[in-house]
Amino acid sequence: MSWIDLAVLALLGTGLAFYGAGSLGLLRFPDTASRLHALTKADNLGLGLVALAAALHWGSLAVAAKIALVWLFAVIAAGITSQLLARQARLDGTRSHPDGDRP
Amino acid sequence: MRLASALNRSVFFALLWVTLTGGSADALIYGGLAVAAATLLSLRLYPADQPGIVLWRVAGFLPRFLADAFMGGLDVARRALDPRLPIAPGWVRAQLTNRNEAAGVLLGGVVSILPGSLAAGSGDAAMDVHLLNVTGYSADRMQADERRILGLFDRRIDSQDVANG
Repeated sequence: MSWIDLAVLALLGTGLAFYGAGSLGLLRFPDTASRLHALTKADNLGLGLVALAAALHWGSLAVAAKIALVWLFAVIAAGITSQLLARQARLDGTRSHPDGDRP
Repeated sequence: MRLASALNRSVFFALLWVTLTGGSADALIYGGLAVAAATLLSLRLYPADQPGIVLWRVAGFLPRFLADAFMGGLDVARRALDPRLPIAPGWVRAQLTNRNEAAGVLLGGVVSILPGSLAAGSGDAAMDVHLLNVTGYSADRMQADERRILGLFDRRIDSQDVANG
């Protein structure tokens, strides 16, 4: 097993751990907006690390550029959907609680 | 202005297409159609007279963005895994200095990447921000982030400053 393989394994493992932490946050955090933090941020990082592992594994600049773009598009999509969901959570919260900071 | 903008954007979309597909010669016709459609859609959704984003400034912004994304993921993972669940979630309304919608959306995206904060849309020169730890909010930091985002645009963005009406 080469150093590259080891690095790929380490990146994949760390990436999956972040996915796991994001899912755990989804279950443990108390309100919609807090859960969105866990899903967007931890999963973006998880995907980034898995993408880095894939780029290293194939070892070509063209593949790496393609994977970087895919990551960037996923981050943009996650950022926009999370803003829309957070907006709705904020409006719902304001409607049901005057101070609007409870779930 | 409009022509230059259409040209800029089609070169940008063509580069995206080549990167994503490898740009083989027998697929060129589909690529050309996709680039033309993307350029038309982009000009319709964000007309050429709107403040433009300066690409080389975005390149300068990327390292910090990546570092923020890393710290943001690390922070939320740490909180999710901690048995004591150290969060004190709450909302703040951050005042912005600029009314431009595109800058607001971009700032929202970046704020949502930063550790502990999540944007919930902007409007009327203010942005609703959700915080995992509401006691740790810094208005100065938010203003610095807004300045950094406004710095990615060309000079036309200044005309939409709150101070200019």
